[in-house]
Amino acid sequence: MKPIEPLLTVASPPHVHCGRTFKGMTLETILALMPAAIMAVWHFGLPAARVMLLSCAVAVLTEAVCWKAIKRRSAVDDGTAVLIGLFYAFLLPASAPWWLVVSGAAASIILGKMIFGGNGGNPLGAALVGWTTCRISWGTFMDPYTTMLDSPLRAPLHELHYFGLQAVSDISATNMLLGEQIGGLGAAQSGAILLGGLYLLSRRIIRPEIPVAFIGGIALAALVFQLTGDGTNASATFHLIGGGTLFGAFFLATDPAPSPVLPVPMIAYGLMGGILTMLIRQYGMYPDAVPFALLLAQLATPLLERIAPKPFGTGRVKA
Amino acid sequence: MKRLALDHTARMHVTNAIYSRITGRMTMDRYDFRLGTLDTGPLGTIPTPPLLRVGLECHDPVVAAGDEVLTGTRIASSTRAGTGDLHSGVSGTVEAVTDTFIEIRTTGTKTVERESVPSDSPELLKWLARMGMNTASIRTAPLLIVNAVPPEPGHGIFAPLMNDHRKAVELGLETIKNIVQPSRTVLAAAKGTKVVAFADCSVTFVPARHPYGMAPMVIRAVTGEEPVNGTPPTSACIVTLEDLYIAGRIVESGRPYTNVICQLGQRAAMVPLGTTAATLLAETGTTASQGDRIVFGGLMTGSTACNLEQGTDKRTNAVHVVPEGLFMHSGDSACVGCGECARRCPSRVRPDLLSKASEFKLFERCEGYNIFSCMECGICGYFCPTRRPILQYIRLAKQEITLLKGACEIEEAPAS
Repeated sequence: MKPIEPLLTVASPPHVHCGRTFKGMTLETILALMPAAIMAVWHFGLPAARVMLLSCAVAVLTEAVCWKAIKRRSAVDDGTAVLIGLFYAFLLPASAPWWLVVSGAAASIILGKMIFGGNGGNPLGAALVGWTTCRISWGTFMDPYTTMLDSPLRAPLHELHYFGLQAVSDISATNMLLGEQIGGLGAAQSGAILLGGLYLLSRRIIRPEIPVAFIGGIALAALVFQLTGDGTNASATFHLIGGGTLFGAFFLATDPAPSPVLPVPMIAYGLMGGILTMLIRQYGMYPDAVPFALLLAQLATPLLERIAPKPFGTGRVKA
Repeated sequence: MKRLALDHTARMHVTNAIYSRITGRMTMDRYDFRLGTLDTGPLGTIPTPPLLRVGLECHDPVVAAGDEVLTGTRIASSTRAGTGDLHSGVSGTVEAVTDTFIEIRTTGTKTVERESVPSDSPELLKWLARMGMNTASIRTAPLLIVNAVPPEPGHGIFAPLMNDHRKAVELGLETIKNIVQPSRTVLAAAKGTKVVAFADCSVTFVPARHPYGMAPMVIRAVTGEEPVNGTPPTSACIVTLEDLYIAGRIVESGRPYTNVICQLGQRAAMVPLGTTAATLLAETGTTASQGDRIVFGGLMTGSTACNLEQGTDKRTNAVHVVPEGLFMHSGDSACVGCGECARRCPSRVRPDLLSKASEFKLFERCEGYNIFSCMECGICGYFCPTRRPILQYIRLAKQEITLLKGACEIEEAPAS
């Protein structure tokens, strides 16, 4: 038989593509985190840079080792390891000791992502899993408030939690937006995070449903507490720009794999995350409850996904 | 996508894609989903091709190698109701008959004798199928929908049919009406396009965007009823404008219809059924080199030719060359769960879950996800950032489920 000349590519349609790559989306998300990373270094100095770099390096290394261990073609170059490392670092205090960074970043990759076979398989946000592992194991080291006592900055959510509304009445919104607050080192850079989040929205890398619903859930719950309480509850604005709320709304909650994909479940998921955050802040023991609230909301994702329209031709009545 | 320096001809034939002014390369993210934007001008013809290769789908050949055939001689009969027989598009000698194709070399210009048109409608329908028309979608119904919406972006052959071949189209409509016996006829057209309605026929406009030109979407737009792909709608019969033209031509001439209307670059031409890709590319002044895709049909739903000798089939309404480096390279990359496909799916199924289940051979699960609602518009694969071959996974699952049920071995032909 004569060889086919030229040898054509045979493939299923479509033969055109939007040109967007997952790697590109990940890199743009990392880019969107850069303002906050720079602000973190600005406020906390080299310790912040140390935590971020170490976390990213460990995450990348762990993932590379994992791919080797399971004998599969490495996908470490898609940038998600760096992103997860950065997410985890953003939740840590700048004072975090090296072993905490290393174990958390490794746990994020192994328990959060690779154990489920890599990207897309993870039912929970990878960095959230790593963070939770460490928060439960070494609570005092993970708490920005107790480990950053030598910092001149204030910790709005913690002070509100422990000392009440009076104690935080002198913290201005401008200061919090500029990131002059103690919290997760990058997560607390509210203004810069907001900037990055808006960039992602404008580039259509994230959809507005989840962040808007999350912020809406926080605001709604804060308003309810404020109206029904005895005047000791902080305003919605305070809760939104204090701590890592916006980081949760734009970055942690919109993680593609663990979040729902259709509009209605997305809104329900966002609202659930926001309201749970406020419930934990109000009645729980964690001053900044975003990671735990999001983990709970992500556990509910498969349930929320059941709210789906009927497929074509399977039951819509005649219009 | 790798960067490519493209010559002018290569750009010509990937119609409808826009080239970035900065890098000079094609940016598929600007692919134009609008329908009916292309002006092909009047319908042309091509010189008689020296060789035809007519593909056999569900046909038994009725000629042997060495036989002399005329233009219009039946060369294979259909084994499935509703699928038309195959006829030679040229007058010549049968060179080869294999399991998958019949090859004919052109030697003359003689045409078969005219046949008389049967008068009663069931006989007429069978006769049309014998004359080469696919009649699967035609049956008695209270509503006849004439789909004049281009099935895909970059498809522009309906306008010349509507304007320049009015007589054949109207004769075809009369013939089809005779069979369908509708109480109402609706012409569906894309918003913003010029239509000249037929007598006793109302016009429904649908959004001029892919996938609104696909048969299930048009049926929904006209009737409000959603047919599941593969099953005929209960209250309506849908035919395309091209079907009307084919029926009209057959009745008018009394001879088999042996052409396909095919878009070649910016123009549309009648080409004999089975014209090889090589002939068509030569006709358009394009070449295909190692690794390129030759697409028969539109870029969103068309199929690729496996070699230059492959002939056009009855669904080939366009020929494109997509140069290597300009199409997406699919791989076995994992689904990351971004949901782009699910949010854009016009069938409201979950291509992400379907492709994942199909990937792991969980075909029963695919059925639970309503896989047969999928109308194969290709939008999921277009938007997938990890470039998974989603439609391929879905087609595999559909095929496997059909096989499991023991229904048939060949994939059903599209509804229209």
